[in-house]
Amino acid sequence: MDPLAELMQAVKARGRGAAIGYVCSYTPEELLEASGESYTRVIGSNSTELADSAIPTFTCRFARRCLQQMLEGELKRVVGAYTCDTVRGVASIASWRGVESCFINIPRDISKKRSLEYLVRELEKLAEFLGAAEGGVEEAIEVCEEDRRAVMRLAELRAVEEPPVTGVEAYLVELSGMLMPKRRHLELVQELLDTLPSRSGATGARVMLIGSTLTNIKLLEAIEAEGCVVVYDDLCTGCRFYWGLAPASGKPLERIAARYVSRAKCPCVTPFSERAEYITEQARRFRVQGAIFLLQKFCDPHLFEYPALRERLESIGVETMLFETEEGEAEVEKLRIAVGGFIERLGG
Amino acid sequence: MRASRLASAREISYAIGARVLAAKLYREQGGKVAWVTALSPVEVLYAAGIMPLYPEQYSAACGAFKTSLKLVEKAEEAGYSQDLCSYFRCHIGHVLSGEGPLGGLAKPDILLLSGNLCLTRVKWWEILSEKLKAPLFHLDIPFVAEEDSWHLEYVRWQIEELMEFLAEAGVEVTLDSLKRSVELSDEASKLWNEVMDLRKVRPCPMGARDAFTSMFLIVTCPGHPVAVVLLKRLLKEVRERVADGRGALEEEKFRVMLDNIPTWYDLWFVDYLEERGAISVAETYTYSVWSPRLDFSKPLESLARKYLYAGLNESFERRIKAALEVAKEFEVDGAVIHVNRSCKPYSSWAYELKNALRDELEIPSAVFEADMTDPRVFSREQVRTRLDALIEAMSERARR
Ligand code: SF4
Ligand code: SF4
Repeated sequence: MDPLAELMQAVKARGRGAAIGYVCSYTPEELLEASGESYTRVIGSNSTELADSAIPTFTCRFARRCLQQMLEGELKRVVGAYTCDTVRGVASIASWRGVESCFINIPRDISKKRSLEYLVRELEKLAEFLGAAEGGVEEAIEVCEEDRRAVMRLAELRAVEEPPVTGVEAYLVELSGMLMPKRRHLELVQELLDTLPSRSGATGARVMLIGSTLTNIKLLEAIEAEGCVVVYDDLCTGCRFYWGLAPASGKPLERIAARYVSRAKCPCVTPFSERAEYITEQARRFRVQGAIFLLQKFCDPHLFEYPALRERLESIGVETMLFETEEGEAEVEKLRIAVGGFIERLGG
Repeated sequence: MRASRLASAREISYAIGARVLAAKLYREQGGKVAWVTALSPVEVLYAAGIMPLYPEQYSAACGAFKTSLKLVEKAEEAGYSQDLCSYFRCHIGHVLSGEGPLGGLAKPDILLLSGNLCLTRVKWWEILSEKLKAPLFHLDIPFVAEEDSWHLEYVRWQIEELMEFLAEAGVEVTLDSLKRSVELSDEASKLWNEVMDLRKVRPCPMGARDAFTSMFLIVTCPGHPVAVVLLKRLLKEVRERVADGRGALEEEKFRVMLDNIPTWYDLWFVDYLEERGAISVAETYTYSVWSPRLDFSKPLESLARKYLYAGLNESFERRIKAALEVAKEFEVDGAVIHVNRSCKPYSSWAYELKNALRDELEIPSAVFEADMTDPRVFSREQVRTRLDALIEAMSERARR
């Protein structure tokens, strides 16, 4: 089968059947891999019925869908990181309702020694919860790093003129890696990388996406249907998950912790100045003309930084647009029209 | 009949307003002012002679002065979403426009941020530090679902760092002065807890309006002698009422518990309840969160504990159990739960709290959705319907 088709299948299956779910891209995937159990990222059910009777509807719909998935009871255990207030609420409700779970805190300034030590302590707590043995962790780190390198290599190819993959294709690679067995994902990405030299390039105005999560691929298709190509996505269910590698040596948990220093920055755990630097750097590296803020409605961490980040991007000549979404089907057409207008502004 | 008010609570409200003015004079004379988040270790600042000001409290005041709408609109014009916390929108509206009650807040020399309670304030203080170019200290406080020693060590270590940060800014904090302010803070806690506990008495001597007003003192002045002085007067007045068997209401029919931050621009719902004989005997917002006891011989550890196990920073397990305990001890007949659009961390437990009160204690609740400082999403009609239903449910419960 064509690797992209298999990746697409994994996205459609949404990790169904896995025993453990993890909620955030800051969850150390290595420990899940080392647990020896099947696991998947929690990206939510389609309905929010159970969740809406547990948490107010002015919290982001993504989190409510995730809560729904946790309350439906298919996952045996749930792990994650306490990032935004909504995730804390969702984690608290799940645990209060008896879902077996373990969440860790991510210190905000990991460049300090004591913060790093604190993070390692939190990782130990999680490793214990998951039953991840130290030897297993080392091996798991290698697999996860290999997968990251492969996905990042693919991402780097998007920096060139007429990239060999569209934004939709690249996103399938990224999202599927959170929903299927790691080793199989790695094989498929490598296979795909081998076929790329023979592919023709994607053309159109170069744009980047900024936001948290995206699970309705149709929204991404709608964006590219308007004649642009998404060359980088700063999404927590996309590139942000993979960006940045662990140091090559050290004790396993320390390596995992240290990776958090160099990984892509999320607004929940990163001061604005660092975030702005990282975003503008990526905008330059991928030579983008425009940035689309595709934000989940009620997503505070991103909404807070939006005005200042928009200003920063515009100051380096990157045009911006904002679209708040709850990922409903009715939004697909609205987004297409909005992007159409945006592309005109970009002169595309 | 509405609840009769306490003279000492009125004094406290004057003192709180006066702090805003005093800070300007203090700064003009060379003193340092800090903008801090509620539940930050201000005991350290008081020990260093730095005057803390509370933007969150200022936003609440903007609500009470009915100027919050104008300010939140200013923030929205600048691109801040209407879905963000209205304390933030109100304050950033004030920073951007310079407008606001009491002549505005004195500018800060230092920004102090504590990561307990919410991420909102983290983003908020970062924006302030970008805009005002004032040095920011971020006390990174983890969320606590379980009592693990390394959380406490981590916070304790950062309080030491805060002292170093202040030293770099040219203000020394000696261990002796810190012990003194921790001692004062503990004394204020003790007084505050006594006042709150006296509300267990029937008839209840103090209503919600007085509790909300005087709460600001324990929030903003722990570690400053003024809190001790004024809380002593409050305690004295409340004790007198208790001794005389005088309740805040002439006829106390129902005892209720209020949840979440109130709608500052319109406390009408409190009056509406009181007019029907329902007095608030405890609020989850005023009770115990602000006032744990401290051991001044171990100042750093005491402070770390106080600011780590701080209300919204704890798991539902701990919070709901505590709320049920209060409901039992205060002999509550019903609860009024404000599902506050601004405060996601506070509101995320609303339905679980309602269910727990019903399932564990057969206590009915009125639940309404609104916002603490943005009046646009408040409807008296909606609230009235819910409160009427609650009164009905409490009457029925009393008949059983
Ligand atoms: S989309 Fe935003 S608000 Fe929702 S869970 Fe993610 S970071 Fe939190
Ligand atoms: S989100 Fe809640 S806790 Fe945070 S500043 Fe707003 S009202 Fe306060």
